[in-house]
Amino acid sequence: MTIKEILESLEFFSSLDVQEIELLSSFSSLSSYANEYLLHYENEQSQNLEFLISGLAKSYKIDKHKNEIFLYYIYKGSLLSEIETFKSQTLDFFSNISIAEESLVLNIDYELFKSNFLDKNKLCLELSCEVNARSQKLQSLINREFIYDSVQKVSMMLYGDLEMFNKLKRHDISLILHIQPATLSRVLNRLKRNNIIDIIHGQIKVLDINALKEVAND
Amino acid sequence: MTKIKIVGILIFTLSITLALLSSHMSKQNSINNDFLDVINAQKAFTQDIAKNIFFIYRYRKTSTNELDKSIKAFIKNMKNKDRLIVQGDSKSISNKLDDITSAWNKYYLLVQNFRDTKEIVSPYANILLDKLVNDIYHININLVLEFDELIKLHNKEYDNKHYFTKTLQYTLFTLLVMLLLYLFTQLKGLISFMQKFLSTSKKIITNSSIKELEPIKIKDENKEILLASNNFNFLVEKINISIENSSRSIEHSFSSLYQVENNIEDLLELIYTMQKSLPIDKELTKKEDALIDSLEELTTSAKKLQDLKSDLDALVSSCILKS
Repeated sequence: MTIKEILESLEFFSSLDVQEIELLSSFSSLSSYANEYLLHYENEQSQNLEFLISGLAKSYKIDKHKNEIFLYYIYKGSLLSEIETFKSQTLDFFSNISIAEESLVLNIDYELFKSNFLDKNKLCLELSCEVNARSQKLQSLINREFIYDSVQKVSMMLYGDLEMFNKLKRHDISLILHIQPATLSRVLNRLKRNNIIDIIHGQIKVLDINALKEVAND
Repeated sequence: MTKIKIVGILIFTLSITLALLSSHMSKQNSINNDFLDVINAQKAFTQDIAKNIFFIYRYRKTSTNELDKSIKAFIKNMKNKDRLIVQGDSKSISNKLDDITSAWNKYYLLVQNFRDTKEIVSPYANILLDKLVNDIYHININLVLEFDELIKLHNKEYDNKHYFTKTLQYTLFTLLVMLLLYLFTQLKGLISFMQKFLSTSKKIITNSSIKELEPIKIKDENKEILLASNNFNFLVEKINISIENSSRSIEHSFSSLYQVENNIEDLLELIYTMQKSLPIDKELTKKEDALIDSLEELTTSAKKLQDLKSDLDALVSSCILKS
């Protein structure tokens, strides 16, 4: 796929006409990254506005004991960059961004993008939506870390992203949910005993979605 | 410390006093030397006059210019003498000066007579000239002796007058030396404390550990030094106790947490067994959720304690102190 085709395929740029897509593609480029590649360090500055075209990226921080604190996943078609202010000519990264699955990233020169689109009140709504989506992820993070108990955390992930749950190792899931592996095992046993889920060859199958939702929102 | 301060002030005051006294003595010595220079110059001039007289008496046709010059120089120097004598005035010196003046007047009169008689050429004038030269010779010797006596009198008077000042100067100097010695003995204790403090601190730093710190051992009677070493040792003791207590508390917390965890595990096992035989009980499930969460909290707390322990270990025996 060419850059132009990629831009046309992204919902974010759907409001642009052909000429604008042409202009945008003139200062955009594509980069592909292998799994576990560390794309950005926290507090790093970038000149590019980045979109994840395919693959999966992970946002995390490191605490003083060198423990990885998982924040959220960035899925394909989403903005990788973080926009803290529209006044700045550069973009700062609040957290470390690493590639979780082999990915393709679209890089757009932010200064040119700003002068050609944002300053002309184009794509502002789309950008606001992306900022809102990031805000929602942070809200989920607050719920996960401060409000939910262990059972709710696991149930919420099973209910919201079962595919991802089955794809990842148990150890990684416990890291994401910020719980101990033993606790994850206990919760899965508890859900299995209550006939809400079943575990077949290590893969989770939801038996009672309503009961799972109830546990998650309890 | 107060003693050192007082001794320091005394040393400073004594040094200033000694400096002023030395300056005064130096000034007096300079005046004395000037006076002696004048007296010696007068002595030299009378000798010069006598020498010229004898030369002219032997060679009659010789000019009297040199003789006149010596007389003029003597008279000019007499004015300086009068100025200097005022400062070292005493009765014996005054009397001696009167004697010298009287002798000089006689001498000067004879010299003038010699000058006048020298021009006359007659047998009688020759007899007079012989007598005049003879008189000049004797008065000159008399003048030299009088001058020597004046110098002796002046030196004696000078020594008497400055005896007190010199004694005071020596006394103050001795006192200053004694104070310096006393200050050194006082500082010796302080320096020894500083050296021990520095070596102990260095030991702590190079050991890269704050475990089992050793206190400073000081044998000093100085209150301030004892107080400082006690404070340092108290701090060292506190650090040792804190490190010991912290390690013990963390270990105790660990074991307590594991005990609680085991109890909860047992409780969970009990709930599982109860649920196997009975239909799902919502209340029981909620209790199970709470227990799972409690276990999670306990495990997290144990992990946090472990992190805290490693932080403490790093503080105790890592290279934190090196930086």
